[in-house]
Amino acid sequence: MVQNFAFLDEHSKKEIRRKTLKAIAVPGYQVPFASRELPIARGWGTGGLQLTLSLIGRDDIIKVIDQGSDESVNAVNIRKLIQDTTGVPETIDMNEATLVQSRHRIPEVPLRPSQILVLQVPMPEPLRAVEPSERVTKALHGDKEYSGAWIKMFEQIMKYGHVTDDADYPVLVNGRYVMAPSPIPRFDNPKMNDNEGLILLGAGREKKIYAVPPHTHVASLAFDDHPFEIEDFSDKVCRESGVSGVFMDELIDPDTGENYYVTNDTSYMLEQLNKEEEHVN
Amino acid sequence: MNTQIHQTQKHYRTLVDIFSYPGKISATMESMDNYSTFGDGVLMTAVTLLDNEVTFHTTFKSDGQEISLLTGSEPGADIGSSDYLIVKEKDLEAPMFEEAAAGTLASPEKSATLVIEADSLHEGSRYRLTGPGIKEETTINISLEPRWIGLRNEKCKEYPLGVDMILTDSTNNMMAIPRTTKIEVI
Repeated sequence: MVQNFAFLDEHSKKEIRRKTLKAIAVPGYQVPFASRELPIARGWGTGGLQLTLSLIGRDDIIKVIDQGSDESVNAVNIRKLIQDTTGVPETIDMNEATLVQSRHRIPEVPLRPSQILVLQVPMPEPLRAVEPSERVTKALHGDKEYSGAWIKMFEQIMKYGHVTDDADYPVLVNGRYVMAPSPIPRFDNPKMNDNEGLILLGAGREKKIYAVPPHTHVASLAFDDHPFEIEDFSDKVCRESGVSGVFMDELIDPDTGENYYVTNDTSYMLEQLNKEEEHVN
Repeated sequence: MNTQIHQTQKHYRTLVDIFSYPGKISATMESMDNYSTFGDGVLMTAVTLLDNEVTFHTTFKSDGQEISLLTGSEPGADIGSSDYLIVKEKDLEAPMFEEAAAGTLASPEKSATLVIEADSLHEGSRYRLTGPGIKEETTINISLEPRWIGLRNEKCKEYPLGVDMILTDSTNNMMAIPRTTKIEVI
């Protein structure tokens, strides 16, 4: 079968490319785009995948992660599709990768200049919970009218004593647009602020592309008396690698019934374990 | 084989890079044989981004015909309804800034992109750039005169409305100045 390089036809790529440049020029603003059909279902990473396919070239080295893992089904299938249609090499090493597609995590290793992180987004509209109409939310963004986002947080505080949004905690980008950072844990929100690389976000089902350029001010929404807080793992140590200060998964040991913690970013954990091994040898 | 698919991909990545880091100069390595009076930087940008879904504006009809032939894009009815304004520095006119589409508050992406072939991106007037994509600040020396930058600043006064600029020079250097960038004459 004859197949176009990077799956998409050139007209589709052109459209995605035009919209992506606009997204970089207006940080945090959701640019509508004509989301194309792909061999995976909408809502399974098609937004991120279309961004990746429009960006990728023969000089790239691709890394695909799903909730911190390079080996989960979603990551493997997306990586296979990208590789089958481009022939580019893959890696799990952040230092090697030129292009990283991720679902719901920003890797522990900071982005370097000119490195691109593509995030898959299920719900790009931070005001959707308070306003169902797309026409209205577009107008609200235009007017910088974000009372809805604040009231949602205020109501959570009144009801539960704290903000209950864990993943997808809204941020204010460049002092202008309130943005859904995709369902990354709060732990990853500060990594978006003034980072070295480019972060592109794609929502295939919702047909939106948006971006956080390098060195852009990104602040998580918070009240003076209820400051933004990240998940606290300060007293937790990874059972497998002994590292701390990273985002961890809480698991239950089936034999003892006890809780334990493991580093969520598996390639980072592997890197640390390999370093340790080298040190011993 | 280096087909146009790979050429435009490479050029697009250069565009992504210069949009991400305003003021950064990056040379496009791709060449685009053509019969227009524009250099490779401008023509590669046109071939990478333009198709029949968008319109453009050029000063001379013959250049427009060549761009149409290569991309399938048609000239817009006037400056205000064109998505891409492709022009040489010496042919710049005030209406290209004043009448360019700046988008709407609800849809700021419905704005024009100026693709300007400048004389030089290394020599000329000195400007200080600040904004997203720039750590602290950066200074550039470009041939574009302060009066054009003044018109651009006027157009980008009411963020998120504004125009984005792609600058090239005769040696295929490229630079982008998106609407978020604050430009000051120094």
